[in-house]
Amino acid sequence: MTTPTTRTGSATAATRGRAGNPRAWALLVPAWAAVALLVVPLVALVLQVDWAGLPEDLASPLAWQAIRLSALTTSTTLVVVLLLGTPLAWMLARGTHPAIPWVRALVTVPLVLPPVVGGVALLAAYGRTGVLGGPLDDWLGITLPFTTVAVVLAEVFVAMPFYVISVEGAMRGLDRRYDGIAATLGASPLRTFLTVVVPMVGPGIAAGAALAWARALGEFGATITFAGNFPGRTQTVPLAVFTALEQDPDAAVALSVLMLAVCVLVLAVLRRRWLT
Amino acid sequence: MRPAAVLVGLLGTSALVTSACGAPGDDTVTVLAASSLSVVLPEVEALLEAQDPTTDIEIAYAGSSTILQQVDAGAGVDAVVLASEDLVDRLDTALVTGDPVLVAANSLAVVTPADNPAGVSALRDLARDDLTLVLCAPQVPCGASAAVMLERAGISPAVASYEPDVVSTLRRVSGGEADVGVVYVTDALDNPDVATVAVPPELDVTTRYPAVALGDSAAGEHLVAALVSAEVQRLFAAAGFAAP
Repeated sequence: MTTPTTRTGSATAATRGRAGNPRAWALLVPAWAAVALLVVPLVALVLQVDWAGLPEDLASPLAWQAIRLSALTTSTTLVVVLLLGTPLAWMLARGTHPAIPWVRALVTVPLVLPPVVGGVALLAAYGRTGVLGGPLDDWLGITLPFTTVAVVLAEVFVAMPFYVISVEGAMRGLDRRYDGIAATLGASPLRTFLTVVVPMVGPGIAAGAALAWARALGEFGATITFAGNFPGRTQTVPLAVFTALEQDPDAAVALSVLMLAVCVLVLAVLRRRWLT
Repeated sequence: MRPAAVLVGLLGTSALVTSACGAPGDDTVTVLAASSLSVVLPEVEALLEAQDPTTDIEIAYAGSSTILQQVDAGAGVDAVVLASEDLVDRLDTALVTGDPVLVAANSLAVVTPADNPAGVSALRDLARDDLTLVLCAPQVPCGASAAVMLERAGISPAVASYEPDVVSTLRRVSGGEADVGVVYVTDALDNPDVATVAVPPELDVTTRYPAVALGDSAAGEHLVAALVSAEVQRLFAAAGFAAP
């Protein structure tokens, strides 16, 4: 075990460099250990990439179908999340009904629920023998598992809470008097929502949308459990990484580094536009 | 006080990490086994542990291709039992101790939910495009064998999902999400929620399970030898496995 020595070394340097108090090392050692825990795997992933073969790996049928499917499902998810999640965030921010805190607690459960459990829950609801899926199949002949629609449902399930929490926070921070003024000027609640509230929380909406989209892009557990795994139909990029890991490790690494690049890009845009 | 507390915390953590990563005691045998063996190996484990109470056998199940990947990544197990003879060649030869020993054989089964909602009555029905059919992914042995069987039958089916291992495939069918799936005979026998459709013998694909001792502990070799003992073979037979 030589790493701790190296870490102490760099921590000492940091202590001299920035933190004035030499005793700060007690915090800086664990801080840099934390940085190493988070960053080492990402650097290792980038080191694995065969850069010359990258375009070819990404153009392979498995990778390309997955990229297209992920683009389609995550953008559909984003539209659903914006259309349904924005009014929900408004209801949570402005609602006065005593049930509102309970609703908020319930809709944030998927945020912390293991995604695979989410997949089992989605099967229980929309599976062919599920609470809603059963009647849907019996009466309309519609089955959701193993379809692209199921992928979107899984992504909405895991991503929507990120959006709602972010936008609700922004709406809470908004002065309620604007709503009141719009109302005294004769604007309906819907008009106030669309022309006053939504534009004023634009940055919150954009940040929430970016977070939700990134979460949808990375969704794996609920998707493979509920929607299954078939190229071009339900095999999104994370599922393709999982499949390719055994068949074609180079393609798996190429897709992984693509996901990493996209996530870093989302964070960079967020930081630049809204977080500072 | 505080830095001291942090140090104690760090030391405690590193002690935990060390003990968690440390080699298991001499009496612990760790095994990675093909998913389809999860219907029988728990009983085998109980039998062997009863025969030798000082031994603790720990078995984890996964698709055989995942097992290879985990061994490559340094899983450090004493033995593996795979569902394909071909995959043995892909094990790192530096790790393999002793020759592979075939411990059991299995054949394929076409299964439907117990009430068979789609009315699947023969293998040729798999060509129907109104079925929700699930197969194991081609990289796991049950998927590779299913592909061979379907090719022999001249069927190119519409597949709903390629599942990562045989247990997931079976669960799709037993849970009623899929109309039909291809698993092993032993999975079908073990699960009351599925019905079996006969596979014509000339189309069937036999799967053999090689057990391979890995690493330099003798525990793996002992376990591999024990798997072909008469008592253990009786358990395999009772679970529907054929003799290798």
